Amino acid sequence: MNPASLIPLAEPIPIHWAWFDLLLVTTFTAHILFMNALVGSAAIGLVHAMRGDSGLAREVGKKAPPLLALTINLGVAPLLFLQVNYGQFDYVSTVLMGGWWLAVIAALMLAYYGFYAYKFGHDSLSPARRTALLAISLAGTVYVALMLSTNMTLMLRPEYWPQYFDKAGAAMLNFGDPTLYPRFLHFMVGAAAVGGLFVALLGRWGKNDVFVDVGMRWLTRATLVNLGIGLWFLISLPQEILLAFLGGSIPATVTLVAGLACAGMLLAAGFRKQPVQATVWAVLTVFFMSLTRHWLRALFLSPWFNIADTPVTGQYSPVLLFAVFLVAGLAAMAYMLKLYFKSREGRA
Amino acid sequence: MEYPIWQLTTLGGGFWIALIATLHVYVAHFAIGGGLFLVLTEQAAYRTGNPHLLEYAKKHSRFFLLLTMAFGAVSGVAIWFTIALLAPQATITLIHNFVFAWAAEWVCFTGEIVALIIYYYTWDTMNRRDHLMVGYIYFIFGWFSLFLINGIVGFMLTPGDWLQTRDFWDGIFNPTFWSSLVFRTFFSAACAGLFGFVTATRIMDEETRVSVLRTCSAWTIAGVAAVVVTGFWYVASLPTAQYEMMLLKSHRVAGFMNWFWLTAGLTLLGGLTMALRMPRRMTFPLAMVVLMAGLGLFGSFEFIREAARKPYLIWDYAYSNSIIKSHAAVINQDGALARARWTPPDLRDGITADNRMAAGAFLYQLQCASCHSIGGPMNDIRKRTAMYDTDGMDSFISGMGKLNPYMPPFLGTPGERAALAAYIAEDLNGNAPLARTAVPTPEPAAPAPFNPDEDTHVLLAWTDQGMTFYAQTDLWTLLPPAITLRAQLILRDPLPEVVTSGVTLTFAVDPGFEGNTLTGSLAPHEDGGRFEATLNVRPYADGAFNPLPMATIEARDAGGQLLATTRVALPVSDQMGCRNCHGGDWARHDSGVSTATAENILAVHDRMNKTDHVARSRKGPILCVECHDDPIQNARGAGDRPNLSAAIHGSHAVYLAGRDAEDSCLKCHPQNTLRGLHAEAGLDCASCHGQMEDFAIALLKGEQRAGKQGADKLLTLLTPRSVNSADEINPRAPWLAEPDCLTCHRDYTAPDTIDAFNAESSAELYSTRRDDLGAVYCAACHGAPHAIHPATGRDSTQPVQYTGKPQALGANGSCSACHEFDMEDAAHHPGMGVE
Repeated sequence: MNPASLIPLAEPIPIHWAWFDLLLVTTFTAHILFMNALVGSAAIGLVHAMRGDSGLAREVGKKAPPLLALTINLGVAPLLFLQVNYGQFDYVSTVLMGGWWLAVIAALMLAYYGFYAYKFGHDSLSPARRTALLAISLAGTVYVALMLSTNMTLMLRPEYWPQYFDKAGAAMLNFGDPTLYPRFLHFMVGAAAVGGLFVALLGRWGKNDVFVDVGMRWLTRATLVNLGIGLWFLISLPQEILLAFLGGSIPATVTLVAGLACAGMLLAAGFRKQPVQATVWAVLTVFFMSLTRHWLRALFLSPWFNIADTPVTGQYSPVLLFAVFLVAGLAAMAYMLKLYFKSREGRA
Repeated sequence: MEYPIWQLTTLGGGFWIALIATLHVYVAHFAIGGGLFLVLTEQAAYRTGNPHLLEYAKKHSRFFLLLTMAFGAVSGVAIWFTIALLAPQATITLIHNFVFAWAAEWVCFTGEIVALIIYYYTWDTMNRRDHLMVGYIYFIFGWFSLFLINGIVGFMLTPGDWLQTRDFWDGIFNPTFWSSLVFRTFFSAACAGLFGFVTATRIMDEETRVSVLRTCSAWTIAGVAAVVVTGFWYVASLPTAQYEMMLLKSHRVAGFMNWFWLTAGLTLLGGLTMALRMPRRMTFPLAMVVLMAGLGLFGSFEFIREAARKPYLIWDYAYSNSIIKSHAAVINQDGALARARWTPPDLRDGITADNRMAAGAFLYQLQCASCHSIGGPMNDIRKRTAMYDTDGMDSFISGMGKLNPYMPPFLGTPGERAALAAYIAEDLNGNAPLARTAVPTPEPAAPAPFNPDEDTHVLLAWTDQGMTFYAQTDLWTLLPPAITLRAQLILRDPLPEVVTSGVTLTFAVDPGFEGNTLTGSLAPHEDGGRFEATLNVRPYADGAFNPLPMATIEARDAGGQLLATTRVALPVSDQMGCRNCHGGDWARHDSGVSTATAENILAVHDRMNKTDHVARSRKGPILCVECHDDPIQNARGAGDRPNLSAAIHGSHAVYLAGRDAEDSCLKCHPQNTLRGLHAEAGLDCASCHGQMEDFAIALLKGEQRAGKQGADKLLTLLTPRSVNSADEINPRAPWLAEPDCLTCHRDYTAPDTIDAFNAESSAELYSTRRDDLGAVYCAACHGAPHAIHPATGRDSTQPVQYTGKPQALGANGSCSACHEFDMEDAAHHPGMGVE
C-alpha cells in the first residue's frame, strides 16, 4: 500500500501559509519556555524533596499551577496553527493514537489538581505523601509531553500509518520510530535546563543565592547533556534529512547553527551565574530550536506534501478580528501586569 | 471519508463528547457570569464594610479558580481533542474557516488566565481599585470569548449565507448569533448564582450567609427566567428547517424539551428555596441538588441544540458522520469503500462472501459509529436494531434520512448497504436471517358433482379478490376480514339464460373454519345479473392455517328443489409480513400479526407522526380508518391525511425502494397472493401493478389531486422506477381503479408485452365486468383475479366440475357445460378458441 494514498486532502486556508508557520513557531517558543519552567522546576524540586530538602520543592510548587495554566494556554495556539497548515497529517496521527491521545486530558487534569493539592496542602501533608503527589503530578505532565512528541513524530511518518490496518483499528503509538526517543529526551532535558534557570530566577527575585546556585548548576549540566542528546537526535534522522542540517539546506543549517551558538552563549552565562543574561539566551535558543523543529517537519514532509499546493481562499479580513483582539488583549494584559508589579512594589 | 476512524464500541456514539461537553459548557458559562458575580461581590463587601462578605469573595475566588481555570480550561481543550478524534473532517473545516476567530478566542483565553491569576494572588497586596479593575477585565475577556465561540457553535446549527458565500463573517454572524449570545449571557448569569450557592452555604456568619444566598437566588431566578424568555427569541430566530427539526420533526428533541422544562422548573424552585432562611447543615446538600438541576437544564438545552442539528454536524454541509453532503452522489455511485481513504486494503477490491462482515464492520464505523455505540450508554445500536434481521435492517437503512430526517442517508452501493445490514443484524445482534415465509399450498379439493346429461343448471361462483388479506390485532385494525362472494346461476340451454329470480342461493363454508358468517344466503345484486354475499371467514381450520377455505354454494327453486351445487375457494389470509421489519413473531402458524409486532407498528407511527397510539391502544383497539379513509371499508377518514393505501404504500416504498416485487410487495402481502395462470407465466405483482415506488406514487398523486397535503411529503421522498418523472404516472384511487386485463390482452388476444401499470381503469373492474353479451361475468369463467384458471387444485375446483379440467369455462371447446352443445361463434368475446 502506498502511504501517500492515506494522506487526506488539504482543506483551503484563508491566507498565505507562511503567516501560520510564523505564528506557529512563535507561539510554540512561548509554550516550550513555560512548559520547561514548569516541568523542569517541578523535576528539580522533586529531586531535592527526595533528598530531604523540601524548601525548593515548596517554592516551585507554589508556581506550578499558574505555570501549568499558561503552558496549556500557550500550547493551544501552536496546535491551532499547526492544524491549519498540517491538519491533514496531525489529525491522522491523532486518530491513530486514539485513546492514548485523549488520555492526555486525564493526565493534565491529574497534574493540575495534583499541583494545586501540593500547593494548598503542602503544610498539612506528610513529606512522603506530598513528594508522591509532586511525583504523580510531574508524571502527568511527562505523559502529556511524551504523547505530544509521539503525535508530532507520527504525523511526519506516513510510512508508519498502514500499521493501523494490522491493528484492526486499535490505537497505536510509534515507539518504533528511532527519532522519537532522542526527540522526547531533548525536550525533557531542555526542560531540566530551563527549569534550573527558572529556579535561579526565583532565587534572584527572592534574594536566595542557594536557589541561584542550584538553578544555574542544573542549567549548565542539563544543557551539556542536551548537546549530546541533540547529537543523538541528529544522527537518528534519516540520512537525507541529516545532510540537510549539515549544509544541504541553507535555512535548516543556519537555524541549527544559530541555535547552537545561542546555546553556547547560554552555557557561558550559566557558568558565570548570570540568570538574566542566561534568560535572554535561553529564549533565543528555544526560538531557534523551534525554528529548527519547523525545518525538520518540512524536510520530513517534503516527499509527501508541498504546502504551496494548499489552496488559499485569500480572505484576509478576518485577520483584522485577530489583530484587534491581539492588540487590545496584549494592552490589557500589559496593564494588568503593570498593576501587579505596582502591587508588589507596594509590598516591598 | 478522508480520515482514519477512532474505533469505539461501548464508549462510542458521542459518549465522550456528551460527557465532556456537558460539564465543560456548564463550567464555562460559570467562568463568565461567575467573574462578574465575583467582582460585584467584592465591591459590595467594600461598600458595606462587611468582613464576612470579603472573606467569602476571597474563598469563592479560590473555588472559581480551581473550577474554571483548571477544569474549565482543560475540559475546553478536551472538547477540541475529542471532536478532532471523532470528527476530524468537520473539525478541520471549523479550524480552517474560523482560524482567526479561534485565534482571537485564544487571546481572550490568555487574558482570562492572566487576569484570574493576578486577581487571585493579589487579594492582600493590590489596592482595591486596581483589584476590582483586574476583576472587571477578567469578565470582559470572558464575555468576549463567549462572543467568539458562540459564533462558531451557532454556525454549526445555522450557517446561513455561509453555505453559499463561504464567507467568514457570514459564518460567525449567522442567523442565531445575536439571540444565542444574549441567551448564553443570561445562562452564564444563572450559573453564577447556581455555583455561588455552593460556596455561600459555607459562610459561618448567618446574616452574611442568608444575604449572599439571596443574592445567588436573585441571579439564578433572574438568569433562568431570562433564559426562558430569550429562549423563545432564539427559537424564533432559527431558519425554518432547523425550527421544524427542533419543534416539529424530532421525537428525540421532544424528549430533551421535556427535560428542559422540568429542570427549568426545578432550578427556579430550588433558587427560590435557597432564599429561605435555613440551618447551615441543610443548605449545602440543597445547593448541590440545585446545582445538579441547573446542570440538567443546561445539558438539556445543549442536547436540544445538538439534536436539532441532526442529521448534520454543520447544517446542510457535513452530515453527523462527517461525510460532506455534496459528496453523496459520488459515494453512491462509486461506493463508500472505494471513496473512503482509509478503507482497509482487503476491502478495497470489493465485497466478497469472505469479507462481507468485515466490510459491514468498517462501514458501521465509517457511517454509524459517530452517533451509535455498541452496547454502550449512548444510542446503543444493538437496542435500536434488536428486532431486525438482515433484510429488515437493509430496508431500514434504505429509508434513513428520508421519512426520519434525523439520520443521514446511508451512502454507498446496495451491496455495501447489504453488508452493513448483515453486520448489524447478524454480527452485532446475532439475528439469523428470517427464513422466507412459506408459501401455503392447501390440498386440492374435490369438485361438486355435475352430470352434463341431466343437470339443468350451472352455478358459477367467484370471489371479488384473488386473495382477501386482512390485518386485525388486539391493538389495532387495519382491515377486517371481509370476502365478497359472487355467483351466477345459468339455465342450461343452447341459448342459456342467467337466472336471477325465483331461486335461492345459499353458501356454507366447510366445517372447521373460523369466522362469523360461515353459512348464509346470497342476495340478488342490483346489477341484475348476480347474487352476492359478504363473508367473515378466517383462514384457520381446526387450528391449522389454510388460506383457501372452501365453500359449497347451492341454488334452489322456490319449492326448495336443489337446482345446482358448486364449490369455490374463498381466498383469505392474514399472513401479513409486518414482523419482517417490525419485530415480533407470527401470531400463529406462520400467519397473523402478533401483539408485539402490532405494538412496534404503533410506536413507529407515534415516532414518525407525533401520535400517541401506543397509549391510546391500551384503552381499546385503534381503527386505522378513523384517520385514513379507505374506499374498501367505506371509511371517510379525517383531516387531510392520505388514504390508508396511499399512506401505507407511500411510507413503506421509502424503505423498500429499488427492490423487485418478491422483496417488496411480498414482504408484507400474503405469500400466495398470486396464483394461477399469471403466476405460471412468470408474472409478478409489478407486472400489473407497477414497482413499489411507482405504485405508491400513483396512489399519492391521487391524494395530492384530492388536495391532501399529507401526500406531498411522501411524494418528495420517492423516485419513480419505470418512468423518468413522477409526472408521467397517472393518479389513481385504491380499490376503485385497478389494472385492466385488456391493457395487455388487446382484443382478448395473447399479450405482446407484459406491463399493465399506469393504465388502471376505474370504469370496469375485472371482478364485476361482463362479457360482450352483457351476460356472464369475466370472473365467473376465468376465476378470481390473482387466481386465473388454471390455478391451484383448490382454486380451479369449479371448472373441473363443469369441464373436467382446470381451465376457463368455455375454453378448448367446453361450451357444452352451459350450451349443452359445442358452439361455433365466440359470442362472449373474441378469441375463445372457436374461430
